[in-house]
Formats: sequence, C-alpha cells, structure tokens
Amino acid sequence: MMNVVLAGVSAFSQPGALFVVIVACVLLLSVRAIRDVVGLDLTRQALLVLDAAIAVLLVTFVILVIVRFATLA
Amino acid sequence: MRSDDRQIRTLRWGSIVRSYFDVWSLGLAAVALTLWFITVHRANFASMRLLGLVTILGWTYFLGLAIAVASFVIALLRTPVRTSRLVISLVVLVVFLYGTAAAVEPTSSLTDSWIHAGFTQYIVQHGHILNNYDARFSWPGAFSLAAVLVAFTGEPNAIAMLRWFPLLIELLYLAPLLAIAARSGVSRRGGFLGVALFYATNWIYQDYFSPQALNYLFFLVVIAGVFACWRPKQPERRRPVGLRVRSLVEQARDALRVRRLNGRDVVPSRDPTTLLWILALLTLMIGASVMSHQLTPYALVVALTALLITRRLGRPELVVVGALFAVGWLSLGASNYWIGHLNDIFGGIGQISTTVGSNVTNRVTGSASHRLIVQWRMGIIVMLYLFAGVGALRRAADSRALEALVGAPFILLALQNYGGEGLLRVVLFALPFSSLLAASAILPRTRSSVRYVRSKTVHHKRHRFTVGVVTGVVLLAFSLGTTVVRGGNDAYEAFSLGEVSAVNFTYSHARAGQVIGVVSAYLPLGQRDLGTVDIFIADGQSTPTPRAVLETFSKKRPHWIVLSRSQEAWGEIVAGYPRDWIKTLQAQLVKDSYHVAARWPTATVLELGQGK
Repeated sequence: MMNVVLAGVSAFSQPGALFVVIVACVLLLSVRAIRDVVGLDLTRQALLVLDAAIAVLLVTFVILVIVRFATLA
Repeated sequence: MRSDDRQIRTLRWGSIVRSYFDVWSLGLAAVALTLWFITVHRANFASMRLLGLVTILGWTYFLGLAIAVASFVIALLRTPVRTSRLVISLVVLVVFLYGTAAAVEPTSSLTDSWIHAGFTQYIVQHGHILNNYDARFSWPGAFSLAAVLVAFTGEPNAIAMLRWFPLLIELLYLAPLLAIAARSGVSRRGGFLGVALFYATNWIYQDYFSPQALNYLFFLVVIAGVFACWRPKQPERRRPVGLRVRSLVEQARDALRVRRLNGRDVVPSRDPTTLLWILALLTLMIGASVMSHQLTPYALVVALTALLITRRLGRPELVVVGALFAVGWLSLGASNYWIGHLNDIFGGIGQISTTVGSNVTNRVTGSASHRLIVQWRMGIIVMLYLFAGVGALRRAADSRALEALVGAPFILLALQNYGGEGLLRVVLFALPFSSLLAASAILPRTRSSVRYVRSKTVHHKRHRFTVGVVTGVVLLAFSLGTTVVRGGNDAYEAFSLGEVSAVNFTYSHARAGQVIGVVSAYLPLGQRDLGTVDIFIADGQSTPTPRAVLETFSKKRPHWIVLSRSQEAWGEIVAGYPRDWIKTLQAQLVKDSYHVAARWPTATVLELGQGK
C-alpha cells in the first residue's frame, strides 16, 4: 500500500505537475495583487477562498519539490 | 543702506558663491580626468609587481583621485544641490576606480570572464547549452543574452565584451543606486554620499563579465522599483519612536502582524495602473534572475521580505512569486546540476562556522603582500560597517528598511557556503544599504518618526567646512583602499597579450579529446572548444609543492602544458614558491619528454613528445 502511495506521489511530482502547480499559484497571486491594486470588490468569503487556494497550492508545491529532490537526488 | 539694496547684494553674493562652487566642481572633475588619461598613457603593465595594479599607477593617479573626490565634495556642499554636477563627479570617480584596470591592462583579467565567454561561444555555435558540463550552464539566462548580443553585433565571439565590461556595468548600476538613495529615507546629500561610498568600497570584483554582474543590476532595479512604488504609512503614535526596549519590542511585534505582512502599512506612491505595470516588470525581472543566477533570486526574496516587514513593500505576492520561481527553477530547470549533487546545495545549511572559516580564515594565507591585501579588504568592510552603525544611530528615519536590508542577506550564509564566496556575495548584496547608512553617519537626516539617538548637531560657523573635510577624507581613504585591494591580485589575475596568444596557439593546435595542463587556473582559458578540449589544473584548488605539481603532470601527462608569467606570480604570491620556480618546472618537464612548442616573453607552450 505504501509503495503504491509513494509511486503515486512520485508520478505526481513529475515536472509537468510541478509546473502546473507553479503556474496556478502565480495566477492566483496575480489575481490577489491586481484585485488590491485596482480596487476590485470581492466579498470577504471570496477573499478567504482565494487565500485558502493559494495556501493549498503553496503546500502542494513544497511537498512536490521535496518528493522530487528525494526521488531524483 | 536700504533693505532692498541689502537683499539685492545678498542675492548677487549668493549667486557668485553658487557659480564659484559650479566652476570649481566641474573644473576639478576635468583636471581629474586629464590626470587619469596621463596615468593610463604612462602605466606599464609589464612592470607590475607583487602588490598588483597600484604598483604601476604613479602619482598622477593618486593626485587625480584626490581631485575627483574634492570635485564631488564641492558639488555635494553646494546649496541648493545640483544633481547634474554630482552625477558628473560620480562618473569621474567610477572611471578612476573601475576603468583604470581596463585601460591599463592589455586584455581582460580574471579567468572566469574568459570561461563565461566560452559558454557564450558554445551557445552561439550550437544554439543550446552543453548539458552536464558545468553547474553554471543550469542557469543559462545571462549566457543566452550574451549570445544574442554577439550574434546581433556580428562579432565572432564575446571576447570583445570582456575588457570594459566592469566599467560599463558599474555605470549601469548608477541609475538604480541614485533611485534607491533618493527614496530610502536618507537625507538628499547623504544619499549622494552613500552612492559615492558604494563605489569607493566595492572592491569585491563581481562586476566582471558574469551572470552575477548582470543579476546585481536586476537586484538593484527591483529594490529601486519597490522603493519608488511605496512609502511607509505613518504610525498612529503621538511621539517619535526611539530606542527604548519597550519601543523596540512594540516595533518588532508590529513587524510581524498580519496587517504588516499583507502590505497594509504602506501608502502607494503611484497610481494603480502604473503600479500594476511596475509589478509586472519586477516579476519579469525576477523571472530573468531566476534563470540566470543561482544566488541572486534568494537574495531578492530575503530583501523583499525585509522590505515587507519594514513597511516599504505593499505587495507580499512579489515575495511569494520570487520564492516560487527560484525554487521552481532549481527543481525543474537546474535538475542537471543537483541530480547526484544535492549535498552541494543543502550540505551547508547551519554550517555557519565552516562557512565563515572558508570565507575568511582560509583566505588569509600566502605571501606577506597577499595577506596584506586580504587584511585590507576585511578592514575596509569593517570600517564601513562601523560607519554604518553610527549612521543607523544618528539618522532619523521613517522606517528601518536600510538596516533590515543590510542584515537580511546574512541569512543566506546560514544556508549556503557558495564555494567559499558566500560572505563576499552577502556583503555585496548589503553594500548599497550599508553605504547609505555609513553616509548617514556624516550627513544624517534629522527629522522623522523613528527618532535618532544622538542629539542634534550644533551648527557652528565652520560647520560646512568641517563636514566637507570629513567627507573628503573618508571618501578618499576608502577610494585609495579600494584601488589598492581591488587590483591587489592583478599580478596573477591580469594577463598579457603573450599569455592570450599562448592559449590561442594551444587551442588551435589541440585536437579533440586532448588535454591542456596548467599549474593553476590563472590564465585566459576556457573561451573556446568547450567540451572538446579539456583543461587539467594541477594545483587541485590547493597549493601543492612544485615537486608535487611535477609529479601530477608526470602522472596525468596532458598533451599540452601552458606555463605563464601569471601562474609564476600566483606561485610566488599565494603558494609561497621560490623565485623562478616555473623555469625549474619547465626544465624538468622538458627532461621528462615534453618539448617547447612555442614561446612568448610571458608564456611558454610545451607539447608532449619530441619536437619535429
């Protein structure tokens, strides 16, 4: 079971997946920055969802990088 | 006398004094430049001795430098300050400190600049990098840019860019430095003096043709952009913040509040559209930095974090994007480098004493002249930081961003030794800000929300004269020190045309797969035939005895060996070899089945086998 999980995580940490996570995170961060700078009105809930999504993507990014280093080094 | 007449006389006298300053400032700058040209014309590279560049400069250089400093000080003390006069004086100072070596030495110094020309040449010829050849090829952005320029200008290679690159890039640094100085919260005159002190103390010599020189420009532009876009929101306090413990604790707590980390404690200095465009450009610049240098992106991330905490950055997203790009490139784009070498990246984490040892203690070796140069280098930085400490106490500020920017790069030392150069790079990243603080020791800003410690200076009659003398003495002392230490290794780091010819001869005659042997890396090597002709360096990045060098060559038997004046100087200055050691080595190699293939006054090429 553990081997299957590790194989799955390892496959997910391939360059394509990591790249997608980076792009998604940068897009959401851009939305956050643009919203604030141009004064786009988002509800409090929408802002919380945006921040939560960014946090999840960042954690995913860190995990993927660690797994990539661990499996390839 | 009527009061109208008195006012008219005062105005006339004021304009006479101002034009007196202008004439003297510009006139002295012109005299200084003339003396510089005379110095360059009279200097004889062949007579350089153990202390390097300073041994061939002559009195005209030192007099010219003193006059250039005087020109700057006079322009600085003019009321009102005229930016154009100060910029002219600064440019003259930069020419003295960074243009002299290029003008005097017959070709570009520093082996690494030639190696980088070789990387560029490979990309020009093949259209791609050479995988698994060198760690630097995993961050190929700067080399790719250089390859585009080489192709665009129609040059056969990048060698034409090497010699004057340091002067050019230092002049390019001037604009972002002035922008940082104008908006960092120091006094106006203190800002200009800070920029002058930056140039007067930058002996670190990372401005040769290299990715780090280009990335330092990115670093300065990003920081300048942030300073230009946001200013601190004034705190809701009745009295200015001082240095009492309670006040410091309160400041530290404020720095870590969510509001501060969300960038809410700043006021934008630009309209939203301009801000967006600048943010986009800064993001692009961080992206370019990430693909072209290993260290600068991380220095940018810690600097931006420091600016966020000290109320100078209004967008925390820039920090996160910078970290994402940097780690993302390392994980994806630079995998060729770290696969199998992960310890090179992470092995130094927490090894601060080892890092300091390899950066400081291990460098104080070699001959007395070499140790003197190293000690002077450390002395300049220590003096600068002492001045910076005084400046931090004396100045009033609207935020402590400068102090944070001086300290932040040192976090990198806890993470990476960077091949024994970590401390140098960290000091370089902190240098613009430590220079501005050092300038504040002499010309502090006196009014702001963060209160300074020292009581107000009493302005006596000769105050301006005293400040002028102190400024001139400090600036001249640092400039002289930097002149000595920056060129202090040029006896072995600078190359003659004969040495260039010897290396080119060897490359032209070496076949693919053959090895060129050298005693130490101090030769203009690596600029061509990347991946086809290997270089073997007998010193193994240490200082073996001449006998051990001979044994290494006998074992390895490189097909070609290049012996040169620069390597001979390295042997005497750094490795402590006896005089004429290289002649002895050559004689022993000739006995041991090598023959002299070609000879110049400053270099000899040996080829394996009996001659024709």
